[in-house]
Amino acid sequence: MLGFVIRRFIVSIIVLFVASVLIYFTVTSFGDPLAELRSRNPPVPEAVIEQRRQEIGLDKPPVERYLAWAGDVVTLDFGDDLQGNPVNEVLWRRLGRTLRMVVASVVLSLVLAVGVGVLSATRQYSKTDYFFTFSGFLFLSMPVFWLAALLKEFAAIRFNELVGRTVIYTTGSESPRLDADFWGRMANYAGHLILPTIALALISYAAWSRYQRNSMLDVMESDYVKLARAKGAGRPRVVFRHGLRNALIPLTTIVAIDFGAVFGGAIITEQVFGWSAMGNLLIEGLRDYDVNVVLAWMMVTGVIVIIFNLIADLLYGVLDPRIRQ
Amino acid sequence: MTDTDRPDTPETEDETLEDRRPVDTGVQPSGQPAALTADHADHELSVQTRSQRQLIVRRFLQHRLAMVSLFVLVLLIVGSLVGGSLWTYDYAEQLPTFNEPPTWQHPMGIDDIGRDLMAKVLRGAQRSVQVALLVAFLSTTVGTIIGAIAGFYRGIVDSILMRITDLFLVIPSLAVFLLLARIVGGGWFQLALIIAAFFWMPLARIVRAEVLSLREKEYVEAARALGASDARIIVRHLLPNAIGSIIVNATIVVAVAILAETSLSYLGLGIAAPDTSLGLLVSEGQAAFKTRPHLFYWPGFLIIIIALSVNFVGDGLRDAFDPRQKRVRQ
Repeated sequence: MLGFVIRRFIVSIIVLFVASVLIYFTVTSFGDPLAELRSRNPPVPEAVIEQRRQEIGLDKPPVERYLAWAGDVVTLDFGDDLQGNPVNEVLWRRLGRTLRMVVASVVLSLVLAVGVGVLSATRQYSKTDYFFTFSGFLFLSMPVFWLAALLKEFAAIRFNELVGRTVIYTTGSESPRLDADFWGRMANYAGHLILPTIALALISYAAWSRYQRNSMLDVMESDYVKLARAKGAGRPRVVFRHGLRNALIPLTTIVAIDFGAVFGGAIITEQVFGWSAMGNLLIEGLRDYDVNVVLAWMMVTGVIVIIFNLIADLLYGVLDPRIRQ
Repeated sequence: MTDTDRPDTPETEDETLEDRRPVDTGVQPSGQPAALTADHADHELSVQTRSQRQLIVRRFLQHRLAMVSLFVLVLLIVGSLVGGSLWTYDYAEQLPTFNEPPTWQHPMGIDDIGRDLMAKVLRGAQRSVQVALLVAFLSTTVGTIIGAIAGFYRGIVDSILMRITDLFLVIPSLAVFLLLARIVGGGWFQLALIIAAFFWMPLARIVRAEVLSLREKEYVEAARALGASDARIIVRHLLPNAIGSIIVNATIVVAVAILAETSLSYLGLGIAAPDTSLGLLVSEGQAAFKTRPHLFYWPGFLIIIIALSVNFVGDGLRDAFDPRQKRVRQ
């Protein structure tokens, strides 16, 4: 089991390395970071362009530049962006913002998914079950930007009018030039976090609750649950101790695998709510053909995907002793 | 009860002799008079064997929600593919009036540069549906081929193909969408190619897993003993048995693809003006939410209804193909 996990981990690292090579050469061969400088009117003198070329190191062959970049990345240094500022500075701050949104939404959708999954499984084919099934399908079919816009126009603005002051913010990850103590800062963060979290959570909750319902149904039909009932265990005990504990195993691994996808997919939510986070970093990097910025984004996202896949593999073994051999 | 009691009904015409075998009367309590009415007895006693395909079609036809969704879906797809050319106005046509509220002549009004919004929505729906269908077709084809080859040949071929699949799974697809969209431009065909390039992996894994187990079956061995080529075994014996997963996956891809395309276009990275898509229309509608909220709602509703009916059809197909997971709906 452990050998399998280690082998998969090593393969993922190699795959990530290959991916970085591919992205590096695609960006550098298709995008010219100097295009903007060249197209300026009045024309910029050739000498200035040449100087800029040397400044950002474009005079060296791409392979040499890639190797220099890779050497730095091993020491967690993602190099400088085109303006000459270290990528690391922006990267960690923006990673923090994206993680804030993603973790909050994963927690929220996990709670919703487990609750709804258990409720509809224990009341299979009831009105409740149909309602949640339908709403699950609805959220599964809803574009996140549309849902986000609705939340903005209705939920937030109405709610703020009702309360009489701005509690729910619709743009940004925090108020600029915020001057407050610790609790004021936290309240401000939370106010900005509410809408993106709900929008992102409702989308991923839909798939997870379907999953949880199915695995709960499987478990409730199993022999050991029948036995628990037969020996006279109370219904809450049967549902939670015998049923839910086992029905949670598949979901845990699914969530671990999906975490990477939620992280990458948060770009759209970030854009809708005007967060200057990881998604924006990527979009700006691609706009300027700033290869260091694009690769920093890709490496961080790739590593997160790999780590959570690893966690999923390990969780299989930890939660389900039958796999541990 | 003998064979002669059975009337020759038209449905039994195409049955094989084996199906016509009289059913053991032991089923019927002996006290009952044989054949109350021939019709009734026939209904009670004869067991029709249906082919696998007939069973699947039957199960799907009985899935009411899936049938309704299929009807809605076909209507929407046909409507969005041909609707634009049937409508009075063209999406690019500039009318003398602008900024008009909805009227009978222009059910969705006219935008600020004099274009009929109904025509724009129809055009947007056409583009989004085209992209989604093409993505589903391409990614299903690629995924099936790669999965079948990897599962059938195993060994080094399998390792290489699966590592490529892993590579595509690790590369954050959105980054590549954005990058390639900048390089190849915003045509709907290119966009569909880019999206499809990142949607084939799950199917490739599913098909590979199915083929890995199917290739060990006796009938494959029999086919090989008869001298069937690899290609024939894959196409005639392995893939037909994996068709359930392939079709279900293809429907789901349509739903996911339409969401991906509209998201990209919404961000301004997919289909770009002067052409339009449902995602682009939502973003325009959101900008003018105060004055023309219906321009925000309708493209959104269209996306949701298309994706929703695709998902319901997919769910019905899954139930039809996989009777083990029987979920009876009343």
